[in-house]
Amino acid sequence: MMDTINDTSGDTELIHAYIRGDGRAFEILYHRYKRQLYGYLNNLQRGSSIDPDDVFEETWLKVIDKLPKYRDEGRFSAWLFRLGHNIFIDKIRKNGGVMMQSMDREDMPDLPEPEHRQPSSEMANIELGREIERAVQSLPAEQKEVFLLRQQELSFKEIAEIQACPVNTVLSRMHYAVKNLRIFLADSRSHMK
Amino acid sequence: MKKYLKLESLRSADVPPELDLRILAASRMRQTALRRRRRLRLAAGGIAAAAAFLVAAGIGVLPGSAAPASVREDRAATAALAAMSDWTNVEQAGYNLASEISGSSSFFELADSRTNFEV
Repeated sequence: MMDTINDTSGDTELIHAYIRGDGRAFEILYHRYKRQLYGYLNNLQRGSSIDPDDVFEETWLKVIDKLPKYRDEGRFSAWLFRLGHNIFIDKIRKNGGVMMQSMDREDMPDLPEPEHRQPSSEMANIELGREIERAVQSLPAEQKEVFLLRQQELSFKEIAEIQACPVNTVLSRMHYAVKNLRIFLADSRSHMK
Repeated sequence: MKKYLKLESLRSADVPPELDLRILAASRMRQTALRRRRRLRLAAGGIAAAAAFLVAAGIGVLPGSAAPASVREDRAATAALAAMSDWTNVEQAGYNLASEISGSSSFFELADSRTNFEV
């Protein structure tokens, strides 16, 4: 008997339905994650010559191709962002590799999970949001990617798998990303005064 | 998990409709291909099973004309031998009778010759 699937079905349930031949399952998965992936790729590619539409389309075509053999190891979203990241990196490499210059120092200490500010009502205003967006775009590529993937609620472990590096490296990238954002925002505020 | 500031513009963006169409069309094509492959696999399995049944039936189960040439030749030779065997039985009976008759006459011939010797 075929299970009925709908918009509230879990990712794993949808993947199994797709493998059994239910085309609707893919459509639900696609509509669930398309905006997130597109947003991530759009923010990731800024400053490069890569077309995010190409990366986005290629990522989903790869999902279509690989989904029948998908093994349920971890979250679908982490797998999806990993595919997108890999395709993006391939394109960067083919275009000369200018985007992903590492800004990490070799002697960077292993850091514990950094302290972060709680979201507050004053931070929610639109102008500050725009400032943060600009600040995020000014971050070094790896730090920016960690920050963007944290926006997608991926765990540090999942981000470490995507970036193919130890979790501690991801933690330090996040720490420096937040530190750099604070500096950028402080500078921008002082210019405004 | 600690809370982070979430900015919608960093989290998501609207996908152009033409991209939606292309990707969903690709997914449908892939599903159709998968379904066709599944059906072909099932049909091939059925055909193979039917062929195996026909071969098995031809060799082992169905008699006569369905049997291969070599089997037909073997059966003909056996029938000929059986016929020869029947002919030999008849002949054997005739031969035995003839021997019996000729044996009796030999006995009488021997008795005559003995009588002549004694005389």
